[in-house]
Amino acid sequence: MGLRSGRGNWVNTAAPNPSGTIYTCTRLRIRAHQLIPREDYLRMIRMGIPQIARFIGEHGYAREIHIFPGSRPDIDRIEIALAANLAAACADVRGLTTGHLKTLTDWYLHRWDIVNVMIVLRGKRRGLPADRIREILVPAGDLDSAALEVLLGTGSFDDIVAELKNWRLHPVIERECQNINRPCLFAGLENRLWQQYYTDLIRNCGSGIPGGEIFLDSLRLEIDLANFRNLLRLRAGSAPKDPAGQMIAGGNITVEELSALSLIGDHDGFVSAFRTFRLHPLLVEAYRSLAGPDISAGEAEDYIADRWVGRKRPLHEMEMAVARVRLNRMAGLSKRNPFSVLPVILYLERKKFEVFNIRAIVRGIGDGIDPEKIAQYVVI
Amino acid sequence: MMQGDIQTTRAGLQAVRRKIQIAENGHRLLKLKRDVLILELITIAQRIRRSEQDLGGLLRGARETLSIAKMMEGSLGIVIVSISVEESPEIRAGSRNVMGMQLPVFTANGIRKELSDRGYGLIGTSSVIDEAAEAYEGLTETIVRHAELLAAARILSAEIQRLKRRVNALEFRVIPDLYATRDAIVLRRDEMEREEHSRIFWVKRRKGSFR
Repeated sequence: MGLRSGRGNWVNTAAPNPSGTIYTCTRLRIRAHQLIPREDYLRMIRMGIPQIARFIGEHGYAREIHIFPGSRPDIDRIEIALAANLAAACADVRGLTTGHLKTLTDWYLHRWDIVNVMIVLRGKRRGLPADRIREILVPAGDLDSAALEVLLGTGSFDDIVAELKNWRLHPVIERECQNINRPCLFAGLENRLWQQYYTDLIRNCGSGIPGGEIFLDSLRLEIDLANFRNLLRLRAGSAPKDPAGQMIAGGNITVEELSALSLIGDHDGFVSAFRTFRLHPLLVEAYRSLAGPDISAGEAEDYIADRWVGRKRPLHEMEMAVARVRLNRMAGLSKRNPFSVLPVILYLERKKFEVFNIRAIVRGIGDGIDPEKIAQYVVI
Repeated sequence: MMQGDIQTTRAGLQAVRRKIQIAENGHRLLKLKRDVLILELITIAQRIRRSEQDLGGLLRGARETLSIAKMMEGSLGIVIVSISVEESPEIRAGSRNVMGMQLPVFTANGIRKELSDRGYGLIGTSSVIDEAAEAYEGLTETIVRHAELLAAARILSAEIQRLKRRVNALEFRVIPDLYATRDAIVLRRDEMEREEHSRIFWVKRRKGSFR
């Protein structure tokens, strides 16, 4: 059980429970193996929507799929069922973990709170009906369905902010929403919430909680990848400006280094800066998974530098490749630390990607996309 | 054909001649205007053809990007992003003058946005959202330009039809009628002159016999 000290650091008050940790990690490792395997995804790509609904109904999604009134659920309903299943899986993991493992898992899952709070704020501001907003929510974080229902039942924007007074990121919302009529309020608020989330997470993980340091490595890599991706996006989609305000602090690459990188416009300068980053080998590996195993590091660097210098798109293919490589890396780290928070996080990430994969397949089939192309968007 | 209310006097003849001159001037000017408008319509039609080809490509690209975005982020993710948009684009309708014709000009503001102005947060979204947003921004811009061209073409085409009717009416009805009227007046006046000449001849002759 974690408590928050006066200075905001988390203190582990529960005695380490090795048998509980071993039990949880083992169970989650087994669960991870029970997730839909690669060959089943490849089969699903060639199925129709009703067949997929039946298939996933037989593979752990029965409760959510079988609530459909008809035998032919539509794609939107399947997506809602997938989100509900993901929320249930996260809640299940939270129930399964104990001690410091639970604390770290809870911290990790708080990211869903940001997603949900932003959906509620934006939906309410746009005047969407509560039922429509409810369909989009994934109550996998600290704010459970009941808390989100309270927010949905709240009338005005100020009341929602007041209702969130006990939420850990409430100070950020309060600070950012002082002038609710300023342009791009929600974009700024969302960025600040994510920045604060990562700042808190890094501080908490580094505050001496058992397993925190192991989690930190994975977290820093996640931050680096998010920052690098966003830097490429900013470069491709905006006039040149200092990206520091949009970056997450706490990664292996500092915000200052990212700011300096954003000023580089030539190929060679970018490549020499890029080589010094710790995510360099991961991105090279990701490009190899896209373009072929024979690709050299130099060719991968050229590809990324070409995108950087030319402000080119698309970037999403690389993003998918990076997600695959990152999951592989996490699996490797998890094997090296079998009784830490990493198997828990790995399971949650794999579960998330299972849901994303099914969604990608269902959406791709619904839009008539070629099976080979759909396969590119499946993270296995 | 002689018009009923035309007087077969010198003043009547001059009035008809003035009308002929005005009609011929009008006919020439209207033909000129029609030709210019036809040239403008041809130019606009070529632009419409190019714009239609662009639209087709952009629409296919935007749909494909949206499909990929739906695959990666889910339609729920797309809904979240779509409700994040805080500023709607503004389209102002103005006009430009072509041979006295007011053709529409649509000025779009705020369609193409910078990443930081789109309303969604950078950290919580992926690049496919930028790609879909950019594709649809480009498509919307082209749709506005296409709408401007289509509206201009429609107005021009209606005006050209109207001008064509007027030019044809002048060319095949009004001007020939006026020439006929002029000829009839001239004939009538010649006739009257001959009658007068003959009358004077006979009057003089009768006066001479009395002497």
